[in-house]
Amino acid sequence: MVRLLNSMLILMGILVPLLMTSGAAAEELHIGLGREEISIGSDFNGTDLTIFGSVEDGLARFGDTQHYDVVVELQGPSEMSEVRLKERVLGIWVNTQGRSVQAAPGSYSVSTTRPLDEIANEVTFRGLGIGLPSVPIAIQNSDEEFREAFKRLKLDKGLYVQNVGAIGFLTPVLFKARVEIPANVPIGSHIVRGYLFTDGALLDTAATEFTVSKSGFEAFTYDAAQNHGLYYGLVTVALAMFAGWLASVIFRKK
Amino acid sequence: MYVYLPIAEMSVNIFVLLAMGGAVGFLSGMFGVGGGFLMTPLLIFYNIPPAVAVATEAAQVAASSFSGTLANLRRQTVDIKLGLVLLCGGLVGSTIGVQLFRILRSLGQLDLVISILYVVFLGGIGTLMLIESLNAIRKVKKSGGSGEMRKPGDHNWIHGLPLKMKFKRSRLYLSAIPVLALGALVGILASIMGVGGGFIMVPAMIYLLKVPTNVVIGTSLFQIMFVTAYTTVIQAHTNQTVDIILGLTLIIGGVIGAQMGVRVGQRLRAEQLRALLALIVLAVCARLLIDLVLTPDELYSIQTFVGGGH
Repeated sequence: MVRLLNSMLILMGILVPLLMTSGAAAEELHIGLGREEISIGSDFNGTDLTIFGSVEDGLARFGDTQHYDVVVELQGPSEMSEVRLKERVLGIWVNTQGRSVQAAPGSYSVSTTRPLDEIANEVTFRGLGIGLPSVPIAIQNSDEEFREAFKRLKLDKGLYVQNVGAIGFLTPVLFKARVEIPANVPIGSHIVRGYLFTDGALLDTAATEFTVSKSGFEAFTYDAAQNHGLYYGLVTVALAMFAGWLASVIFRKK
Repeated sequence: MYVYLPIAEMSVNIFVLLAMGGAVGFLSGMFGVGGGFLMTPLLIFYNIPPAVAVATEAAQVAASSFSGTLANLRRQTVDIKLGLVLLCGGLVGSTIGVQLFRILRSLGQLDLVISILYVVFLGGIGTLMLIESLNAIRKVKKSGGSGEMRKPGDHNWIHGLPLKMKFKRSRLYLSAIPVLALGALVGILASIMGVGGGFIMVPAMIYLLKVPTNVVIGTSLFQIMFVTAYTTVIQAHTNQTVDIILGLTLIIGGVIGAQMGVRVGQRLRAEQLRALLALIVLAVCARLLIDLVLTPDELYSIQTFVGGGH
């Protein structure tokens, strides 16, 4: 039912402006990324990602005046987690209840040229699945209270973000945005989706992706810890003992 | 300057870690304790996930205990035979503890158990030690005698249990059962709490086993060194939460601090050392108790499971 509504809205979004302007071709949205791979090295503490794009055939309709809005969503890889609630038991706070989240994006951000309610109405966004209220979170029992808590915690950790006004048009048809990638960004493939709006209607969409991965040494270390735990442990202890011995030797003369 | 921790999957300030390692290492050398009972809560206060803090701390305690043990071996203040018996108990205890750790973590109750264990043990031992050492200090002030705990021929019922062994260095003849039991208890705690266990072992050796104070520190470090090394390996193998980068950073600060701490510790009297340790122990206990009882800012929490996009 939702998909039907969804398709209808998209169709309307394309047809209505087409019908309004006589004979003009629909604009096309293209987006690109400053880089397609973010490598986490030993001194990683978050970074910036540049997103840019253009509106093809955009001058035909409006000439030189800036009349487009762009919304860009970044969605991180899906993760499984558990949301827990603390309650007071015998004077101390204990995790008593939990709901499992079968799938939810590890990170999500929506960047826009203007506040969402100025670009189009809520129904449009709901139908398209854009914005924080529409982030796909599959939670046990569809528990709304825990779902909201999950979103709030993600917002607090800087993993779910809303960036109003982060996208700027350099010319009437060329835009750029700089999105912050947090230090705790999830590892994996991230999807980037762009939506082109004008006068509250959707004109076109575009998508691309980028990956976040641990580089060289960090990847090696993580892989070693996960898959070769015993050797990793032995190496860690050997290094630890070596450091201990070294310190005792250095300080012996003092 | 920030460094990225591959297992904890977060970015931390390297200087803060070095300073923390150094301060705790200093205390470890001074009191003959691993220092884990301070380091693990500090790491948790600094937002390192408790599972990573506990497992990684075992590695750091191993390193600083090694450093301290070598210093004590040179001064001949280690009862090796006693240490080996404690060690046997410790290895068994640690193996049990790592399994408990794994189970509690999957139930989402690991953090709570860690905090409660800390509050109970630190509170109990800290209080007892404080009372005893303050009394000893007062007695010494009055009579000017030594604050030494044990008089010759001083035994209790624990010494009388079966399986007696002779420990020459400590001039002790007692049952091996309490020694093994103490080692095992300490081993379990080492793996669940990320401690060396010295804060239990040192008082137990002094008050229950009646080991002379000057050998207690060296012997306890000897046991801690082996048990924590073993715990690190098993934790890495079973739970995969040992972060080598975090560990090495703490170790660098810790071993340097420990060497200095050993020297300062030699200059203080035995009963003064006990009183100081008791105060520190009680302070950490109070902080943890407050955290357990005070209404937290956020009642909800998320635990993300590894394996999703990796």
